[in-house]
Amino acid sequence: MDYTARKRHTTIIDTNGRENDYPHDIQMYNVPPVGEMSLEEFQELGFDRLKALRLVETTNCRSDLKTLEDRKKALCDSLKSDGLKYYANLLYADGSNPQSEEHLQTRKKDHISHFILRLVYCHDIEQSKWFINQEVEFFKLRFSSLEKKGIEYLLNISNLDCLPISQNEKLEMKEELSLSSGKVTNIDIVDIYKVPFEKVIDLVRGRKIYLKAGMAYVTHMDLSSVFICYFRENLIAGLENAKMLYDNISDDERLTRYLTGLPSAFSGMARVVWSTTTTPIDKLHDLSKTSYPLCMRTLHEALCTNSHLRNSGRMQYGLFLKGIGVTLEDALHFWRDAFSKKTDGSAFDKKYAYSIRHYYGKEGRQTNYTPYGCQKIISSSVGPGEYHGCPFRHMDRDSLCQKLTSYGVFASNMTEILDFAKDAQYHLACAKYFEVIHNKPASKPLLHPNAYFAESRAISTEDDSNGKDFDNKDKFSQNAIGTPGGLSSRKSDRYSTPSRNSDFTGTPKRNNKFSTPSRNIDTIDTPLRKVQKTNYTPSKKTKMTPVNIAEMLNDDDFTDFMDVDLMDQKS
Amino acid sequence: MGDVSDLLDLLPVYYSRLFPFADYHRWLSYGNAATFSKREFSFTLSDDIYIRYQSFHDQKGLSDEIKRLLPHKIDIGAVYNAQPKDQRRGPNFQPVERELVFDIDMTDYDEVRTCCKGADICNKCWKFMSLACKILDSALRLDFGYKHILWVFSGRRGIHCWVCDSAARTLSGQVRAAVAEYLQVIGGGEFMKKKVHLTGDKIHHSIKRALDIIDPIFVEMCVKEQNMLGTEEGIEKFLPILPNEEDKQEMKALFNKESTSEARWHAFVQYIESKRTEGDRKWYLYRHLIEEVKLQYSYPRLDINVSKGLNHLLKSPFCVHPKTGKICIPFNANVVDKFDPDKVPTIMTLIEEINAYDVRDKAEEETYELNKKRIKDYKKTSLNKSLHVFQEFLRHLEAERREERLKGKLSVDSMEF
Ligand code: SF4
Ligand SMILES: [Zn+2]
Repeated sequence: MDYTARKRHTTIIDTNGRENDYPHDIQMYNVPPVGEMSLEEFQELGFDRLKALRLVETTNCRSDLKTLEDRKKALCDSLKSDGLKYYANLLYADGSNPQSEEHLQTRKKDHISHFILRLVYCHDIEQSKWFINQEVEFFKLRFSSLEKKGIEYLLNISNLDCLPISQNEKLEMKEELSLSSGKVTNIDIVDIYKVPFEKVIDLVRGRKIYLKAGMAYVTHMDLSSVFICYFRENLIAGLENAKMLYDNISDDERLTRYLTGLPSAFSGMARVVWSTTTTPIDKLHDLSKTSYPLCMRTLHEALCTNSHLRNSGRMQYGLFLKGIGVTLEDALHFWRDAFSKKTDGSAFDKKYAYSIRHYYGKEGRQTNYTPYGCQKIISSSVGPGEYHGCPFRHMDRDSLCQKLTSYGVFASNMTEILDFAKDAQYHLACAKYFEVIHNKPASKPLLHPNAYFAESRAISTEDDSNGKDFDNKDKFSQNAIGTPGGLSSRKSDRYSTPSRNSDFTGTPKRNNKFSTPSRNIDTIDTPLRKVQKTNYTPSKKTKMTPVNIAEMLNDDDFTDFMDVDLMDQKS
Repeated sequence: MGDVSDLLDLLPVYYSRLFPFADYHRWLSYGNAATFSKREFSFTLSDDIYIRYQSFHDQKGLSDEIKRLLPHKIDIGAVYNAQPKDQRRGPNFQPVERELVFDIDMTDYDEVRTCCKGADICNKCWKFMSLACKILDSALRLDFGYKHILWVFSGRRGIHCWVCDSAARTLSGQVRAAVAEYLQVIGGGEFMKKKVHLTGDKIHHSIKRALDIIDPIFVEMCVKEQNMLGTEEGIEKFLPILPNEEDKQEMKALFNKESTSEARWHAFVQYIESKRTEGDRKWYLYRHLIEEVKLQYSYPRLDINVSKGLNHLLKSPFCVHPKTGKICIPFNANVVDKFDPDKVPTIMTLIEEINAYDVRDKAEEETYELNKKRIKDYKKTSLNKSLHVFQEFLRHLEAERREERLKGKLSVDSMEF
């Protein structure tokens, strides 16, 4: 990619053959843009796309929108009201391929802005993940607007290993196809394509497709999966390349300042909320009843009763504790105590202490792990003997009902919570649980267990200070930070005005425009910059000193132990 | 097996005379010396020392080090983009290749087996392993098209599966996760009593195939031998799987009329079948229930985290299990039913066998003074059979490589003309 930013506007040199550059409404972004543009335009494009992606995120978090069409409509409305009409157009483009000048300009903006954000988001694992997720979601919505012709055309111009099968071939496997192709009722009238199974992992994962000898047989309705999969992979690889490109432009300070500052221009609700103060571990037991979300309360309880938690549970709970300000020393104490009935101190030190230190970035790759958000918890897989996950998603109705009853939730609220859970409205179920426990609803939607905790503490401290001045008011005050390197909550308010309303539609107003990047960078707190710094430095200590662990001969725990090292590899 | 000190006495003999270094090296090279040299090995030594990121240029490097360190356990990791042993592994050091592996452990069956618990196994519960092996093996071959699959006894209470096709070795983490999830039918933690949910009206062909394997033995194995409904406890575990309260009550009453696990199972099947056909308003809830229950009680239970990552370590074949002394031997999936975990050779028996042979040999030599050809040591022992399985697996890999090379050569030739 050749971004030459000029102070003054420079015209794009290449004005010919743009239809060939942008043959379709949907782009796979295989080739980086070439040409020159003004810094202002560059900044504006990046800013617009970021806003659009934020809107994609918030729309996706709205559990009142049941179908994809609903979500698309809502997204379209908010794009328009935020002055991003051209994104609204992209969203509904059907691939019929009109060649107007306006269309081409829109496609071009789509192209360039995507690549700008690649530069912004390529450095930090957490941030890349966010970016990939939003881009993929946006892609999905856009793809769903395509007409059949548009899809076929896209298939033609993209270089995918995806071929239609002959009528004969189809007849031969008709039986299996109709068993295994998901919702299809009449296999005779659908077109079937064959593609290596690696290209449709979404369908493979869900067992929604017929597989034979490594080939997947995709109906034309499921072709979107092929494209989504390709898009995602391409993007992952693209972010790797972007890192290198970034180095080429890193001597242009105006650009780098803009690029590093951009992610913090808004803060999302689904972000980790880090506690600014420490939480003492002797309070955890009480806090688990008053201020933990149900997922963490369940884990805490399982830990107490079993004196053990399997790796995924330890990870979910351990990172949560890190987020609410339990120090590493305290965490080691806490876990050692909790395990003590089954595991003596020295065995604990050998078997588990490593992984606890690992959560705090003190071992192994020294990755700075962030506490899991609801989305990750909700989508985690939970196996026999495990207690992690989101209770509203991973408990069956009976177990959930029992659990809630034992926590004093009355029948009147019970059905509401259970029904939300049944309808996959986990956040609403969680919000209701919050309301029941606190006798008042949360002031904002909570999409992160640590945000739940922060909100709960805010309410209790308020109550406390209204009553007897029992607790130090600041003790649990929270500081909202985006993924490492965001703005503090106060600052983010400036940009994300309506996001506190529960209607989820908030995004920055157009006029709040992020005008000079330098200004933004100045407002970032210094300690946070440090966080960001440490994340950027690939800190990979070569670890040749043998690790001393006992009982490593026990396969199960050995597996646990190794898992930790892998976590940052998984998406 | 006594204690660790026994093992320390025996390991030198095992590693110098029995461990099949040549075949092992042949396997992990995959026809390319560089591949071998970038492979991570990790060793667990006697005093709880655990060393990661070992790598070796060649067979001799590996065998010398193993003979020197006498590891209690050897784990095989990924092939990296640089030699893991190299101290200068940079920030770009990362795994690039790895067999697709599966780990099935008996402890994950504790909620469905009644004969043993935890680390114990017996011939009854071993049947779960043999089912798992058959189901996975056929899915990997038929659905995914893999051919080079090595099954290995894990030394105590489980089995490992190594898929070694080159297409499998280069899969990304994401694709591995998808394959693992495709094969993972059992889901849900402690708070989810019903652990199999078949969506849709029809049953996926892969599940159907699994059911075809399960069906003929289900009653014998799960209902009778494991006595799944024979006890109060078994019934208590079973009832929460049912979709609603009335069913639970009705089923409980029906169960009380019967006294054996088998009779109760038939009562259940009958009850559900009547629900399916009687035009029950809620027939939808019952459409796959019998199949789902069968799967919950017998389908392979995988630890899919092991399969997802490229750099997950897995215990090596031919390792000695440090607690049982059993050798992690490869076995043939086609005759898995005949595999008896109790008869797996241990390091103790193997060494006795060699010693006995040596004594006989010596006696013979003295008597006849024959200048006999030296026989490979493992051939003198019960390890021989497993070695055959392993060598056959290697032959297939090599035959395919030859074929590929030939094809590659042919296409080059045809280009020249
Ligand atoms: S919705 Fe989020 S916070 Fe609430 S229980 Fe589920 S995972 Fe925890
Ligand atoms: Zn048993």
